[in-house]
Amino acid sequence: MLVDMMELALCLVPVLGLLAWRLALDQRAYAAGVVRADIHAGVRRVLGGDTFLAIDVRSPALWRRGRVRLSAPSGYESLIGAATPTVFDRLPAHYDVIIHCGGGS
Amino acid sequence: MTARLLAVVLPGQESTALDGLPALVATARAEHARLRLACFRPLPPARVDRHDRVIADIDREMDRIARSLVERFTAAARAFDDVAVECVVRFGRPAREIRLETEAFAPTLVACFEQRRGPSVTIRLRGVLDSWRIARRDRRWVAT
Repeated sequence: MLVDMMELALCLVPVLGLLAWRLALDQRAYAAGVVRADIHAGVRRVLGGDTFLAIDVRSPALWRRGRVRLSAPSGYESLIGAATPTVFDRLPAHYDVIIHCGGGS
Repeated sequence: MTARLLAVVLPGQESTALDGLPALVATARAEHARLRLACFRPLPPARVDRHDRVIADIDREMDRIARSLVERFTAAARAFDDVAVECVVRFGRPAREIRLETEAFAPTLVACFEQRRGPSVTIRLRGVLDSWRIARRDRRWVAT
């Protein structure tokens, strides 16, 4: 009986582990989406609509901080500057702002 | 109180910093901040000739390197006359010198450059209250 229970538990552990991992990933993606939506709305309001500025958010994990990545093509760095105060106003704790510029970005 | 933006330029990141200067200046302009480019270099060895006679001692070498870096960054910063940009050069172990520079300048934001891949430049900005970890990896200094 005990052996059967152990076998069942051993079979279930990988499945439950994968489900828990997927759940954690989904929650992180959801949190990143919420942060991105908030920042994107603020930046759009400041810049008066959609621009060449791209915003990408990665939520924090146990081993790294979250990232708000602002990308602009070469020559459009002023967009980053105009958006930065809004981004910092809405930036949650444990997030870095990453500026990616130059080249095609 | 005026905001202060400290850009950390680790050894070998000078050209990356020059390419990323417009984005940094734009950020400083939006934040109404003073921008300080702090270049960190290891202590240079004395320059010797082929007979091992000292041509320039460490102090002269530090002075030469500091002057050349300040001239390079000041020339690049001349294009942005609406933002106060200053450049300082510090010699020694980057981790220790960055801590000293942070205490001296008391920045509200610290910017570090990431290792360059391709023509684009990546700058990471973080509030100064959060600590940067400066470490040596693969023979180069990185900030994480």
